[in-house]
This record gives sequence, structure tokens and C-alpha cells, in this order.
Amino acid sequence: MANPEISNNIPLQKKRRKGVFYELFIKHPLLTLMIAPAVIYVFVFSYLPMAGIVIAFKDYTYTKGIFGSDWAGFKNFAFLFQTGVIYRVTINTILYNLAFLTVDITVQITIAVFLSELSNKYFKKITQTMLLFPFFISWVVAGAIVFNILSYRFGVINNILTYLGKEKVDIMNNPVIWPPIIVFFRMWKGVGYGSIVYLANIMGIDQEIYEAAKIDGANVFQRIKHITLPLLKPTVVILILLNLGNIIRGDFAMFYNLTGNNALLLDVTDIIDTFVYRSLMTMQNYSMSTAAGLYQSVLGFFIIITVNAIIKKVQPDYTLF
Amino acid sequence: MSKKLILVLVVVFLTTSLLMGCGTGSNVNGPGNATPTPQATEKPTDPEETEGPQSDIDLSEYVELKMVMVGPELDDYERIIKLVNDKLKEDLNATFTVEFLDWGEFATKYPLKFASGEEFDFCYTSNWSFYGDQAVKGGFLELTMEDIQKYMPRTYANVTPDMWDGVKVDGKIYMIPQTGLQFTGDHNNKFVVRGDLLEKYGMSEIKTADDLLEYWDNVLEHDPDMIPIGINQSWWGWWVIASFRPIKWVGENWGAGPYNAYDISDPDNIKIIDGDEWWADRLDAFKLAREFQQKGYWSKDALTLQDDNGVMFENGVSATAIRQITMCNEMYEKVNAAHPEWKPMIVDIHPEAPAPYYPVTGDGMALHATTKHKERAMMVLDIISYDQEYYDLIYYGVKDQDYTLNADGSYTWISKPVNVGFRGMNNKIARMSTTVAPNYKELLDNQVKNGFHPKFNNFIYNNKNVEAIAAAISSIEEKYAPILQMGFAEDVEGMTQQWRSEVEAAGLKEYQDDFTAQVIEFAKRYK
Repeated sequence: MANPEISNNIPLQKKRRKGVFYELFIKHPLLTLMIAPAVIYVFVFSYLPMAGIVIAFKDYTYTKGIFGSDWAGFKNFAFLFQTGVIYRVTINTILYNLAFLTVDITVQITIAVFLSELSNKYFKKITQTMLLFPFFISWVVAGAIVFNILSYRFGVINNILTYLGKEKVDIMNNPVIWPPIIVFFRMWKGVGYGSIVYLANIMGIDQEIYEAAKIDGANVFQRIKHITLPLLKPTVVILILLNLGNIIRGDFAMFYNLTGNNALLLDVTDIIDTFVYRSLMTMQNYSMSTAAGLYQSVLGFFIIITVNAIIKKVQPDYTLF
Repeated sequence: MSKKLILVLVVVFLTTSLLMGCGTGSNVNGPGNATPTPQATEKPTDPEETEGPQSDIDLSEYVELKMVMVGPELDDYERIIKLVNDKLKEDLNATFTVEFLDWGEFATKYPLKFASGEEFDFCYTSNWSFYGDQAVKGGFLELTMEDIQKYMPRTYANVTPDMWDGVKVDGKIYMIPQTGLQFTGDHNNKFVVRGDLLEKYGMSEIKTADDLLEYWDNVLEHDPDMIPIGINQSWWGWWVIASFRPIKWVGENWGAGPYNAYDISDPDNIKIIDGDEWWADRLDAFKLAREFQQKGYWSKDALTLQDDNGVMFENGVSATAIRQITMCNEMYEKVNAAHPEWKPMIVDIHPEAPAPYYPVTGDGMALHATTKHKERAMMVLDIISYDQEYYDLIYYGVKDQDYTLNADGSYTWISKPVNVGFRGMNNKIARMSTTVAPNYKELLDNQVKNGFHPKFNNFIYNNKNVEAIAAAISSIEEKYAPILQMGFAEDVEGMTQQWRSEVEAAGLKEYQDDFTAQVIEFAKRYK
């Protein structure tokens, strides 16, 4: 009896995999259509422009257009590897992004857990709003804020030091303290927004589990440790995976504005994007800029594929695809 | 729609719009070397003597033109453009509007205007705003002498063949150069200082470099809240330093290349300064910069400051402004109008210095390659550039309302200076203001006396063969130049050596060879 069942099952499963979207569409046409805007968005802004990648391999001129320009082979990539700086800035970029990832996730989860455990509704709302606020400031403004705090002549810190009768300190030109400063301000800016995802996740956890734990005598910390955090794990893994795709991309606006493009800090604040900006800003060469972007995309693509494959081996449920 | 959905949509919209705003972080300050030169010393070719546009040109169709201009929108633009357009409509059956690209966005937006294929008819251009680059990329319309003669008779009469030669890229004309008298700042900058401070320090005048240093020392001693001279990354201390050192390798036949200098007086035997000699000279300069920085002549924040030299001076934050002579006068007029009690004055600490004229490609106008109204655009450009009535209206406003015209042809503002007039069209027919600095005319005459036309001005380098090296060197330069030129390096010699070895490792030799080859070709052709 077992045999025919198995043989019947295989084609069925195949059929189901193929037609999963079709079936869903027949069953819930309106619900399925709701992803249309997202699909169109990704198609128009991510897939259509992809054809423009050819610029990276061409001697681009307006008159001949994107597809009519002459082929240039890999010439446009040469500037990246000309001096070897690219290796250093690539490592910088990855290290910064790893630091961001670790610090951001830790702080965001902590905040989300705190917020979820708060019982005073108004205090909770006000805290959340205040945390979210920096997210809506552009890096240009954030850069001005940082400058006004750290500046030698006008800075808040130095004004306080002078008031206390102490010597002024030159923070803006000191490379050593900049990596922590950058990580901190990035955290400050993103924490409110980032914690929303985790908070929503925590809110979605079945309250009965908590109640059961309470009855069993678990205190707050035990509940967090044994219920909240383990249940957050899939979300954390997926968010890490999504972020890894961008690990080779630096946030140009952040680095440029926070440091005020200060050349003295370049050794510790130089990332791929600022390096490319410095190299090409006076040249207006679209082909070479595209080449740099493509370098980042290809590296990011391989990183995400590799990590996804590893996770597939270890924890198949948590993979992206 | 439920309230929540609306809220979500609003949040999404706000987020996207804010995120989009994050992208532009660059802050490019306007280059200091380009400004209208009121200039009444040279007699212009009277446009009336030349024949107007030929009558066989069809003007029956009304056209609306668009101009792209650099710099912030002029305060009185709206009011003046209406008056100009009323006249233009009558004379040429055309009107035009202007899109201004402010300094902060100019460097990124200007090339995009061309790359995106946006419709406009003419625009500002110059060697520092991508003239050679856009000409090579096909952004501009080629102008033929026949067309210029036919549609721009006034321009044809005023721009000399030399000048047309000077703007040629690969033998083709893409720019209409301006004809006003202008000098390059470079080693020849002048300073604007505060007379009230001089009095306070018991100093009578500033005539030499030592006087200026004494003035700065006094500022440090008596006004510790002020900066002697404000500089930031785009106003690298370079020009300040250059003013205090003997001028090397400057002259009619001298030109600067990538980390070297050329003497092209003998095209068959071009002299090149590079290697040790060139770097020794730089090292000297960097040491002086370090000395100045240590003394505190500029702020410790200079590397991150966004305000430029002029803004700091105007706001009373700094005690000195540095720029080329005509810009100095502009600064004088502005500050004198706002703070006459500061008693601003222009000082020249090296009146004997050779004064290079500004390159022909330094300021001008060009036609967009895709303009649909080439003829009318040329005619409009011609009339607003060289017809005295139009020119006065555009540059000085309405007669007897904004300014009065004096018997000698100069003008006087009635209440306050009117901010009108486009960059790139400062031509011979410009008038001299009566509010200029008392010694302006004298200084200008002195400049003319020391003036020379650097042959190199007409040399346009095409880096096509060495683009990768140029980009690599540019990134190294951006790293070291600001630090050394503003005196922030603790180990000046070490960093200079580092800079040198890095550019050399990046392929400087190949770059220089390519550059030299083009210089030789240029020198031979020019001769």
C-alpha cells in the first residue's frame, strides 16, 4: 500500500511547486495582486536600469548613447586597482559594515525588548517617537550637528571644557576616535527605525507562551532569555542576510558629511564610495563610476550567495532563498 | 481609506523623500577666479558700427529659450528678466528663462543636464566647469565662423581671432568667450583687510608681506576671537602660501603640468621641471603652510569648515579675504555697503608680480548640442552680450531707478547694489561703478602694466590615454594636498615623500609622458 502512495506523491509535489503562485492567484486574486506595486517597483528601478551596466565596459559619450558607444573591455576597472588602495578601502568598508551590523542589531533588539516590557503606554510612545526622530534627519544635517558638538572653535564639548577651565581638545582631526564616533552616530540615527521591526516581531509572539511561563514562575529576564530572544532569531538571521548584500557598499552621505570630508581622517574613514568619489569627482567619467558600482554589486552578490549557502547547510529554515 | 493606511502612506512618502535628500552631500564652493570685471578703460567696438543681424532671417515663429547658469539665483532675476524679455520679444520674437545651478549642486548637476538629454538652448561654460570635457563628449553645439558672422555680428566684431583659436577643442569652436579684462588669481591674489582693525593696532598701511603678517599677529594678540584669514578645503591654504613665496616658473612661456612645469619658449627643446626640483619647491611651500597653521593664522577646524574665505570675512569671523583683483573689489563693495565702519581696503603685497591674464576659456557661453533653435539662441546671446541697452539692463538694472549713469560712462547705484548680471558675459562694454575701492583703478592699471598672456592658457589636455592613472592620482592628491597645503601635517617632509612615492607608484611617469607629448604637439602648432 505504501508504494503507490509514494509514487503518486512525487509528481504531485512537482506540480504544486510549479503552480504555487498560479494556485494562490486563483484562490486569492485580490490578495496576490497586492504585491504588484512592489514587483513593478523592483522591476522598474532595479531590473530595467540593469541594462545600463554595459556602460562599465564602454567608452561612454552622449552622442553615441549607452548602447552605441565603443566597447572598452575592462579598461574602466583599471583605476580601482591602479594603486592597490581598493583592497584597503574594501576591507574598511566591510569592517565598518560588520561593526554597524553588530552594534545596530544588539542595540535595536535591546531597545525593542525594553519597549515591549514597558507598561506605561505614554512613556513608551514618547520614547519610541524620540528614538525614531533622528532617522528623519538627513546626513547633511546630522553632519552639521556632529560638527557643532565636536568642533574645535565652536563645539559644545570644547565650550564646556573652556568653561571648566580645561584645555580644548582637537577631536575633529584625531583619526583614532573616529571609527567609534561613526558607529555611534549611525546607531543613533537608525535605532528607532530598526527597533520597530523587532518590536513588531515581539508583539506577534503568542502571549499564551508568556502567560504559561509566568505561571511556571519565570521572571522577566528568564522570559526574555528563553522566549523572546529565541523567537526573534529567524528575523535576526534574515535581516543579517539582507544586510550582507550591502556589506560592500558604504553609506557615502554618512561618511562624507560626518567627517566633513576631512583628509586627515582618511586612513580610518576611507570606504569604497568615498575613494571612488575622490578619484572621479573631477573627471565626470560615467563609465568608471559604473565600473566601481559593478565591482561592489558583484562582490556583494557573491557574499550573499555564499552566506546563504552556508546557512542552508546549518539551518535550512532560515535561508533567504 | 482607513486612517492607518493614510498614515502609513504618509510615512512611506516622507521616508522616501528624506532618503532621497540624503544623497547630495558635496559642497562645492564657487571658484574664486571668475567674476564680472567692470571695465571702462578699454574702448569697446561700438556695436552700432557693425551691421545688425541680416534681415533675411526668419523671425516669424515665436520661440522660448532656456539658459543654464551656474551660481545661486540672482536676487533681482525675476524683475529684470521680465524687462529683458519684453524687449527681446519685440526685437527677436523670442524670450528666455534661466535655470540657476547653485554652487553646492553645480558640480554634480551640470554634467547631468547634458547626460540626461534635458532640453535647454544655451548655457554657461568654462575651463573649470567642464568645457573641454563636455566638448569632447558632444555636449555642445559646434559653432562655425559663418554662423557666428551671420547670427552674432556683434560678437563677431568683438571677439578676436586669437580668442576663437583659444577656445577651440580639436579644432572646433564650442564656446563664445567673454571679452572683459580679467586676471588669474593664482600667485597674484590680492587681499581685503579691515581698516578699523589696522587703526586699532596703530598700523598705517599694508604694503609688504611682512606688514600683512604683522597685521595677522596683531589679530591673534588683540582679537583672539577672530581668525586672521579663513580657509577651508576648497580654499586650500595654497593661495595664501603662494602669495608669500617667490614665484617660480610663472611667465608667458611657463605652464604647469601634473607634478611638473614646462617652459615652452623653444618648441623644439621644451624644458621640463619635475622630480627633485619640483618637489623641493613644494616642500618649501608646505613648510611655510605648517608654520602659518602652527601660528594659528587659520582655524584648527579649517579641514572641515564649510564656510569659505569670503563668507567668514563678510561675517566678521575672519580679518582678511583673499581673491583675485576683481573679486577683491566685489568684496570691498559688498562689505563697504554692509559695514562701512569696518573701513575695508584692498591691499597688494606684491605689486611687481607678473599678472597672468585669465584664460579665454575661463568664462563663456555655449550652445547645447541638441538645441532646436540654434539661430535664435545665437541671436539672443549676441544681443544680450553686446547691445549696450540690453547689457546695462541685465548688469545694472533699470536706469534712474537702480542706477544713474555718469557723464564719464561710469554708473552709481541709487540705493543698494542690484544683484543682476550673468556669469560668462562680462564683456568689453561693461561699465565701471563709482563705488569701487578708491585704489581699484590704480591697482588694475598696475595689473595691466604687469600683465601677460600665458601661452599655456590655450592648452587643453585630453587625458583619454591615461584615465585610470589620472583617477588614481586624483584620489591620492585629494588625500594629501589639503593636509599639506593647509599645514596640518605633523611630519611635513615624511608626508610629502609619501605623496611623491604614491603618485609615482600609481604611474605618474606615464601620465607625465602623455602630458608632455601633448604639450610638445601644442607648442609646435601654436608656434
